[in-house]
Amino acid sequence: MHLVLETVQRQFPETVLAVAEDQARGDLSVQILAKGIREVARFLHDDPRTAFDHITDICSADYPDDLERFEVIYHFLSLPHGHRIRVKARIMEDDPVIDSVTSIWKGADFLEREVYDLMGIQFEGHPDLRRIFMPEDYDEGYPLRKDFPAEGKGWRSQFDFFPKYDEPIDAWSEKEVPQDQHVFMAGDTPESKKRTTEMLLNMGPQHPSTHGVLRVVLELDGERVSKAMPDLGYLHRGVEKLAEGLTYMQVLPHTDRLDYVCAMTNNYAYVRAVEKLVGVTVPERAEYVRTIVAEVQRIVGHLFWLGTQALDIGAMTVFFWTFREREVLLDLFEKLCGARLTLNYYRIGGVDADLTPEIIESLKTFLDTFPEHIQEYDVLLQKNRIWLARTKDVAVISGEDAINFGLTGPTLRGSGVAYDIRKLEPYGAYDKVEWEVPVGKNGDTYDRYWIRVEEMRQSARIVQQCLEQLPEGPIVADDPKIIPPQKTNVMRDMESLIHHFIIFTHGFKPPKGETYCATEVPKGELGFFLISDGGPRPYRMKIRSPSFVHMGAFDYMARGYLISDIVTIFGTYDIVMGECDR
Amino acid sequence: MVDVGIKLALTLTQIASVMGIVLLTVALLTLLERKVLGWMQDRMGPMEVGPYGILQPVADGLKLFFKEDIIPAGANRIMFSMAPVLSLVPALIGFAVIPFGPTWNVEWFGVEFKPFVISDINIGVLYILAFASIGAYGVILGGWSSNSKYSLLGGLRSAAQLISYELNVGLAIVGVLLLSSSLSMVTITEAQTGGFWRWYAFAPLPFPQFIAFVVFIIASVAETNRTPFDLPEAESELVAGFFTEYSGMRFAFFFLAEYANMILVSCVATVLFFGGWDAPLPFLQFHGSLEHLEWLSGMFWFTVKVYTFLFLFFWLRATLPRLRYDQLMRFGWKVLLPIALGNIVITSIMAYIFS
Repeated sequence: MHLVLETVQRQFPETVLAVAEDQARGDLSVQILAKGIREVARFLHDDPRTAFDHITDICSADYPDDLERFEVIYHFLSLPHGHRIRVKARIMEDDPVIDSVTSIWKGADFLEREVYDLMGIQFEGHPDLRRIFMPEDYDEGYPLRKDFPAEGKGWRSQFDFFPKYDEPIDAWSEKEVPQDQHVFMAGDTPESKKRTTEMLLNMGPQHPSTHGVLRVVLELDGERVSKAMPDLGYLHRGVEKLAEGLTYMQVLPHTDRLDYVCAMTNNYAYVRAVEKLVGVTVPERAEYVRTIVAEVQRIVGHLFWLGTQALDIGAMTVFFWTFREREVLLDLFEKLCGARLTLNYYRIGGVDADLTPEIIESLKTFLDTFPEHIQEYDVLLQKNRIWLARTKDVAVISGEDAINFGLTGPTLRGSGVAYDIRKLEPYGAYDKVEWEVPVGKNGDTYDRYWIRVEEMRQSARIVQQCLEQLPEGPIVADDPKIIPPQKTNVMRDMESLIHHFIIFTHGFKPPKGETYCATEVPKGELGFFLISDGGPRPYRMKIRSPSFVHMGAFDYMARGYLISDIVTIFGTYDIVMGECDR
Repeated sequence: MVDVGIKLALTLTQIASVMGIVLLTVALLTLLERKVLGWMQDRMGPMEVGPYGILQPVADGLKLFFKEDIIPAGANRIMFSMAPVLSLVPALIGFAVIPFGPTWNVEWFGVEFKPFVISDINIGVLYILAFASIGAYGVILGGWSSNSKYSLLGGLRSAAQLISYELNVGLAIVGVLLLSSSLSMVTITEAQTGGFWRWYAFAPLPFPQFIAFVVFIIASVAETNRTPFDLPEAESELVAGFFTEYSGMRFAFFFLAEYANMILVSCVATVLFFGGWDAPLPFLQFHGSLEHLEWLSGMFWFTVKVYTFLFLFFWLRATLPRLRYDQLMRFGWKVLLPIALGNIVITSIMAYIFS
């Protein structure tokens, strides 16, 4: 048995109900009594033998037939030891309360609010337990529960809390949130001890630089931010709920729409999770092709980020220059999979089509000139006094805090923590090529900027090496139970047609089980947690999206800075609302 | 009586032609700015309206003219309507003292007048500074009266910014005033004629005003709310700053004012530091038997200089990110102000020694 499991079991003989090590998938899980969660979590966090300092995710599952209906599932990561653990606790339906772990991991704040919002589980000791995605006065129930219909309850226009377009303004102004529920109001009554001079500024959801439909309410003292309250959910589509009604293959297109700037890496994260659940081995050429495409997508994502971050800070030209290069790569993607934005190229067990010599050639041409282009951006920014003044010492977060908040990707690496899933748990062809993980020092916006620019160089390096090493062979695994036959065969022979029909109508059935699989996407760690009940559809799918977790640290990082810095912080997270709100 | 009538008619004609040229230049600038930015950013700029997009300003103007005029609920209607006017008028009125060409006295129907300057008043520089300050009220009132927080923040920012940087503009000019011992724009230009080595920015003795010129240009960029000092209208932070709530013609007024201001400060920089209509080398000016065409070459050089400064404005916009509010203030008070003051001290000492 794994040492960590042994330690936990020995430490809490009563609280720990069961421990399990999934040899094939490399997952560790611990089933505990709900009332002991804070104790166990504290031990896991503090004890040097376990040292689970990074909170990855909190999610929940609903088993209506069981006596203890809800299961709260925690994923922790130990950066010093480099392993993950899954802690599960069951709670009853009539008293869905569990202790909050926000006192141990600050990043648990938003994650617990999400569980409360979508599953209705109360967290005792949570400082601010409110709905996070759904409207605050939504009382139709909790959407992720199994008894909540997948098609929703009613239409948008029928809900009371939305103003009707044809009603006169006076008719609905009274129905607005009552005064005492105005969480966004600064205290203005004479009895209130609070200073009343703060101005509340509503930034978003319609604002030129909130990267989609993010809304932040800022409490301002002059131009200085004394409190920032992110209000999410304007792009909440319930992808997790939708996935419960779709077969594993049908979920794939929904993942493109998560982080619509980097659709390819989302696909990659999802197919990797399903492959881990089912246990498919992907052929070597496919692994290389996947790595190439993922890294090209990373370059595209970072180019997009660099352009918009510079535009937010006021440098206009960088935006057009990065989009010039992005265009070349999007053209390549178009040749590869036919789409430019909602790319869909990865398949469970491999990829959709092989790289053509033409694509390889144009990719090589691009890589030859790309370093010069990065140099051009550097000329505009890297030594620009104004750029330095706007990014240095802005939104500083220390390494410990960043880990405690569960930040990942360049946002975490900027604070000097060299956590990159591609190095820690190598997948694809990342362990076969040479590359480095750029790590910052000060944890400020400049360091994160530098890291992303450096990552573009490293990605170009990876792609270059992968292209050189690219082996011959099939691009899809040979596993008839899961992989549909080739399209050309389907139209020719009867057996393939039947095979195709079966796979696409029934779907494939992974074994009963659950697994968490993390992938390094340009924004950070995108994880998919899948629970399979042996059927063709996921019983529960949880998406651990980096943007959402990063927003949890927003208030902490924004306090004390000026309004101008708020847009810098949006940019430095590289936030995409499609992924944040899901 | 007839004299007065003719004088009035002549002055009105002058005003009309100057206004016409300025407004045409504004229209041209809107197109030029987009084109120049486009070329710097690897794109074409506007291409759809007219051949090569040259009719874009007309289309923009028509669009703004026919847009619905919205006054937000809770806005102070009088102030809200007044602000754009308060912003535009001072920007246009400043052109009255700019000499566009040689100082000629023409007699026409027994009335003497100067064809290339509307009014040669002996306090020209003060006049421009005074009206530039009034322009700030337009911005502040526009921000305040809109009843919008973004506008208010934009208005507040601009109040602080305009006051701080106006000071630097004023102090940067003092050196030139010391050297020319005059406040009249015409006299200042005439003191610089004879080639670029006599322009105040370069004239070696008593002291070249090049540093003052740099301070003046930086402060002017800040005063016209252009990148990198476009904080009052910072798009990514304050949506559109003080004119967030404006639409249609009122918006167009602010827009016109900004561009007219750009032209004005370019003209002032040309006159004060770069010899106005004077050619960089004497033989580049029509002279001798072609003396009667001197105005042609004079206006040509004036235009070239002004457009060079305007190009500089575009260039800055394409290159630099935006400063933050506190950095802007620090830069204005702790960097530009001491330099401008130092320049005054050195210039006066040198002027005393060499006079």
